[in-house]
Amino acid sequence: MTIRFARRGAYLLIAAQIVGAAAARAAVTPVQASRFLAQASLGADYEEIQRTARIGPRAWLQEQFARPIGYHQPLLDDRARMGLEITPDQRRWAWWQQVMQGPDPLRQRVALALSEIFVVSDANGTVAGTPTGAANYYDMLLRNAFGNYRDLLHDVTLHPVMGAYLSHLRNDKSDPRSGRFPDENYAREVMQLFSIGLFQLRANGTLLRDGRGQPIPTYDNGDITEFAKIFTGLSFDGADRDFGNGEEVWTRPMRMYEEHHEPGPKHLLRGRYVPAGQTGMQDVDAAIDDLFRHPNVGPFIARRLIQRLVTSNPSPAYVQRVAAAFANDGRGVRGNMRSVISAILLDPEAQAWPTAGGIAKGMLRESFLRRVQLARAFDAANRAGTYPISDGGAPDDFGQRPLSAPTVFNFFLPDYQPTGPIANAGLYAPEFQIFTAVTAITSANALQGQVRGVMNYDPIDALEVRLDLTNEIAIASDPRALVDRLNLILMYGAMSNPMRQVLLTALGQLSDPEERVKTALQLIEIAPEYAVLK
Amino acid sequence: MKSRRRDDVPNPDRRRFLGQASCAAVGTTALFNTVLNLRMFNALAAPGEDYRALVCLFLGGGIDSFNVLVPRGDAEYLDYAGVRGDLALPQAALLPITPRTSDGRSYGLHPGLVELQALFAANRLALVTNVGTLVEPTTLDQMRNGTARLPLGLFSHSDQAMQWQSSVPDSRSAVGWAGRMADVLETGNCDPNISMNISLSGSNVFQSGRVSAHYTITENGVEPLWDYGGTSPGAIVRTQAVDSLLALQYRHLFEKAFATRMRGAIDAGVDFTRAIASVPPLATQFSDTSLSRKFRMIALTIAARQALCMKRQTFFVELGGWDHHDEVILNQAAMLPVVSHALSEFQSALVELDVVDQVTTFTASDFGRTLSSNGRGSDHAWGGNHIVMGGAVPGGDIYGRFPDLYPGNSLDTGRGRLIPTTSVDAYSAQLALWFGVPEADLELVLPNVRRFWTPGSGTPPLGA
Repeated sequence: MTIRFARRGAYLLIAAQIVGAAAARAAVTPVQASRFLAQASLGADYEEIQRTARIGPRAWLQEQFARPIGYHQPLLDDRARMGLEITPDQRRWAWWQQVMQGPDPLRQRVALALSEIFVVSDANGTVAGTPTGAANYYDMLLRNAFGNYRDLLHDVTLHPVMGAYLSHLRNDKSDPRSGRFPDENYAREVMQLFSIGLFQLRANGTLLRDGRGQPIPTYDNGDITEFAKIFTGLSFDGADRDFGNGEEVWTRPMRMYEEHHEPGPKHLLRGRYVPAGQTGMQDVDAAIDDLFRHPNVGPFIARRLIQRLVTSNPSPAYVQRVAAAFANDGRGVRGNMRSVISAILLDPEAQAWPTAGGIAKGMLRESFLRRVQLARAFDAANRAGTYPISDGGAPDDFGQRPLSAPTVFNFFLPDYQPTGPIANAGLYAPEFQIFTAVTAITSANALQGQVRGVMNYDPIDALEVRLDLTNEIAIASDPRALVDRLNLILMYGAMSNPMRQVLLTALGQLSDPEERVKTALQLIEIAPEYAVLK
Repeated sequence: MKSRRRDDVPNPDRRRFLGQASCAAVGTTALFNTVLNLRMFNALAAPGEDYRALVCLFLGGGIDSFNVLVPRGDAEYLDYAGVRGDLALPQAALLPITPRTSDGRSYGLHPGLVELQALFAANRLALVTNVGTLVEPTTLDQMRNGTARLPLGLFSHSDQAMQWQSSVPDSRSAVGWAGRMADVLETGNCDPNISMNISLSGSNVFQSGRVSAHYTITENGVEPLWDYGGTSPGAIVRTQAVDSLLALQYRHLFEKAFATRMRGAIDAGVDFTRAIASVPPLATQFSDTSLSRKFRMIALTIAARQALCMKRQTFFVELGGWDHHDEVILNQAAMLPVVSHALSEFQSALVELDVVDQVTTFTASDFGRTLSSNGRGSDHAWGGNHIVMGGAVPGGDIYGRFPDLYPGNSLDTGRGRLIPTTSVDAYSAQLALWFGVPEADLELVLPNVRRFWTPGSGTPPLGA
């Protein structure tokens, strides 16, 4: 593993040097690099932290933007060609394979964040029935992660898995005779969750209010029934061209069946409308443009993404800076995701170092991402170089598993406030919604199992994925050196002295080096200071 | 149509939907004294044990409940079938129920609710019709001329699920009414680790107080923290270290909250497991569904109430998957029997435990759904029908005013999105009063309740 990472590092160093002239390269300290990677990736090992420290966050981002994409669906297609079964488990294997070995850690990180905003879920039976379609949806998020939000919203809207999940697939025009109306599901959620939200926002994400101090809705139910008409006529792009019962093609965008599309003009938002006589797809494009140009989108998406990557409670000024990057990437382009991602991760508020006075900075790490970080930080692998990790217990253990949210509202709400000091301070902490008395214990147990055992139980030993703790065990004769190394890798050097003392006291009572490493990891995983990414 | 009046009910003992608890269980003006009084009352309450539990079954996603309670008589069925189109259940398939108070129409239950039909006939189960979130009593005219004050985010899942549980639809408060009760009552519990509010479905608004946080368990109870408290040398070292880590002083609010929750989870797990282990197994058989297993665990927790030192408890169970924009007929046919079995099994277990009069179970949901179809599915709407079950419930009746269903009726805001005729406040008030909240203190639990009901009026909230 060390050789692989060293080689990748060397290659990237050369790549970074090639683009280095354009990308501002500014070395940072290893702890700064570690904290940056905790925000910008799904976890990093010691070598990647050192490498990032040498080139600096800005060059790291430029390098990541240029990397090839680690698509998931091709791994499933390979299996299918070999005549092997494809279930949601195999989709998760592909997820792990690319998260662990793919060339694009930033893209994989952002796609996961997008999957928690543009939610589809295999908790839905239809989605579970097409793992290849779900992987294709995820690949669509990967492809658009560094593209333009307008394309992202378009591709989300037309993806058959989203169509099945929010039921605009086969959504038929109204029929006055039978009293049937267009399905409103997608029309509502595309506005509430994927683009503009419920209330009009200022550029800094705070609520606009009317003369009576009330928030001003962005749309009403009449708008939803109008948008519902627009999202009619979409179904599978099968060769049989059958709207209702055709071939189920999950890996191509839905196509428009004009005869099932609601005719006539439709209202858009803010007084705009689409005229009668357009094609259905023109209607859809007009609606997506209408949402894309809405002033809410920048601050709405900015807050959503900042919450996934950096902090639960961004300041209005931070949201405004990111929203400005959404509105204009500096070259007059609206919706440039690279510009948005850079603005989020390079913002002074993201990079500010945690201080004793900062009592609300950052976020509770998503519980499942603690599992992923452990795996990436310690190069989890099996002898076959595969990741057959099905995560069957993850929804119970962590309250979370990629692409398995209970509803389109994700695993937790952006405005969740846990009872007690956080709510009393008027702060939000979404990830606490799934950190209950149950999952506090089960997630700690699962992480303990990961440290002490394997990440997947397999009858074939060679397929069991284990953390590689060789480098840590090698230095465990010196507990201080061990704690320092773990502190850098997992906690970007921010471990307090009291916590450090607790760890050193415990390690001092153990003599076996491996037991020291596993005990240290077990304790860090249950420590409040680790759980909060500051 | 005429309002259904509860004083039509012949049996004077059943004049009220649910009786009110005789003790002032929830006091607030003088908190300490009230709690003290409660304790004294409890001590004196023998032989009749003072224990009450409310169980909320939350049907997540917004259940299409006008296919749960369905008009069955020829004339009214015609209205129903006309507006529902392809979503209409066949008239002959409906399970007939005969409410003790007639409004002149016949009703039936969804064919999947066989056990609930029997409980209704046994007067152990009631239905409350067209319940929904309201800021104030609301008419179609007020909505049309823009003068109605409406719930925030009407028809949206996240807002409506929250407001059903908070009973405050004019603000985005994530404090629920069981949470508000616990804020007051909690200090009366003798186990500081375990809240009187227990969730089988994780975090929820209903049981979140300003101070009190609910306790979560699973259908299997709780899992212990591995290695913790172990006797190997390594486990002893790690147990000490875990205790030390969680006992450090944290200034960061998230770290503090994490430490508190982890510490509480570890300690409560020990207490809870011990309490459950102390009760004999249930003879009542439960189905092999997650919902039935959850109700079984609730029954076991109720059985362990003395070991847990509980006089008042609420339980929260969510069964999601009711957002049937598509295939509502097929999905309800599969899902409603699961509900019917779980509820009736739970009721049997309560009989076995001899607490059937002390536990009331009720349903809630994000919203009702459009009466009109979108082609095999229905969309987000407003008022819906709900189930209340228990020995204290004057069952076998339908409470509230069952609405007209034909398109364009005086409650129809479009597509059969019906303005509720019973507010969540009134519905919750009835349950809270039975639980023991004094009328005088009801506003502390349900801040808007006076918009719908006057304490001291002599009629119960769902009665007039």
